[in-house]
Amino acid sequence: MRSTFKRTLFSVMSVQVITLVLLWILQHTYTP
Amino acid sequence: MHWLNWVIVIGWLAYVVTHGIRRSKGTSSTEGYFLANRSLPWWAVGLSVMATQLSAVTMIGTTGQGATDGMGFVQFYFGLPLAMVILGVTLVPFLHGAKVYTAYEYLERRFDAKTRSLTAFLFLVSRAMSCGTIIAAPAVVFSTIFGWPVAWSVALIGIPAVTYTIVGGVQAVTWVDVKQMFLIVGALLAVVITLLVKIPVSPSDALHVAGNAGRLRVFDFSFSLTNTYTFWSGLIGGTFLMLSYFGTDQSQVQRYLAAKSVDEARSSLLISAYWKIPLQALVLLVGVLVFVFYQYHPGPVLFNPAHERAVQRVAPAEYARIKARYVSSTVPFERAALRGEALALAGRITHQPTKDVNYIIPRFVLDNLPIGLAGLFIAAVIAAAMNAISGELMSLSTATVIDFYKRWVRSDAPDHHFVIVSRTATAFWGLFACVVATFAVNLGSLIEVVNRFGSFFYGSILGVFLLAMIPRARGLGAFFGLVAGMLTVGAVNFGEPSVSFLWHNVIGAVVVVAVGLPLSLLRE
Repeated sequence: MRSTFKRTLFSVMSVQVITLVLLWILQHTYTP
Repeated sequence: MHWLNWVIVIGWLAYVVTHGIRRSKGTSSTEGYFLANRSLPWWAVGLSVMATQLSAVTMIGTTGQGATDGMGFVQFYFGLPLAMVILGVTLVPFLHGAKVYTAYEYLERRFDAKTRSLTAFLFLVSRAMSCGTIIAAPAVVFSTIFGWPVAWSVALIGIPAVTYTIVGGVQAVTWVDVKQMFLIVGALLAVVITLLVKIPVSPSDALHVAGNAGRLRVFDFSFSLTNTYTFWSGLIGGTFLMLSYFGTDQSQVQRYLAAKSVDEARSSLLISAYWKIPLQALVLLVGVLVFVFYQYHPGPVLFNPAHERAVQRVAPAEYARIKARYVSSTVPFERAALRGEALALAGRITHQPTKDVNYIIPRFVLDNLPIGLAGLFIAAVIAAAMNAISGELMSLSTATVIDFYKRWVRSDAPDHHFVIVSRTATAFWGLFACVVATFAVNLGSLIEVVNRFGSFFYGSILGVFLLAMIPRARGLGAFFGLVAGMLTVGAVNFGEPSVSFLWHNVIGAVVVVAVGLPLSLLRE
């Protein structure tokens, strides 16, 4: 159970971090 | 609207009602009607969970918010992925393993009947209030744009949704949600592509225009309790809100209770964990691109046609002056100021909140999208409303029958009796929602209203479920903790300074545990 949780947490949070970084790049590329 | 667009809308409605009714096989028992005999695959449950959340308010209000305020609203969902993972190892196995029909039923097994009844009652009150709003949001907009009475729009959305929900139960609701989810995402993508084609500059230049006007500002790192959408309120308050919503709200819990196994229930929630933020970003991007579009094509100053007519009638000279300057201006900030002037004028004349934001996307769709695509988008708005309302009706009916009728009125009747009562309860709540929607014309900002009703109770109910997972917690502590949590949220809500509603969930949950646990230990 604990290893499944860790694996899922890592995978979901990785995707979220990538999404947030992409949104951050969008903001900083186009907002003066 | 062109007749071909209406053919698409009516054709879609006919298709979903037929499809929903065809999916009603096996719903002649209460387990079949309320939980699809616990047989649904994870991907259908997951798409249905997302579809229930994506209401017409998202299609109209959130896209409009993208056009006026930019992408900042996406921060609201930053806590969702973490909440889904936490639920996957906490409440989902508890609730699915307990073989219950409602989340509140579990609370009686863990605590006592009064805690179950109070939480179920709070759910019924908050959902009954919000389900009217879910229909009212698009109904009011459609009525204003097409010039119909509100009741017609309510009927257009309500009758098909209530029909397939009564007949097919959760099974029909889930499979219709899946189909409608594809329509909604398809319609949003089609609008984005159309916008990129119609905007006379490259996508990169279009984004520069949006960025210069502040529409691409996603992150607000200020730690403010009064700002509604900040990074921290989204991450911390949002996690608590999503834990409460997905973990304790029957409209969501019922979906994953219908999954084949605990693993499938868990996987269904991960669809939201991966896709919710990108989907909301897409929804807001539609609004941002509509904003850019209107920088190159002169659009209306006021998007609400009823208010535009009122202003033209009462103050024609002043409105003409604002409109002339608006059309000739090329500076976004100047145009925003002129729009503000027009909105203030409309407010003074109509004595109503303008709610102009909810008309931006519908007006854009009807004025600028090609024939066929406009019909597809209107069908998608109705689909979104039907997804949300059918899920709510199902959960209201389940809580009414399982937590009240079967628990307190008749527990010994044969199963087919409860199926009849369940269908009657669904019909009652459907009628109730339609009546509320017809009269809920002035309910304030649509998005905030729906979320506010929920968050008033959500955090406190989450606190009770958190207590349920602490072995030494007892029924008395849970009950009085819940009461203390609600009173505190009420005090915070009506007191000064007004704390943003996203923090209510954190406060409610923490107070319930902080009061409930010591009380439980004292009683030992």
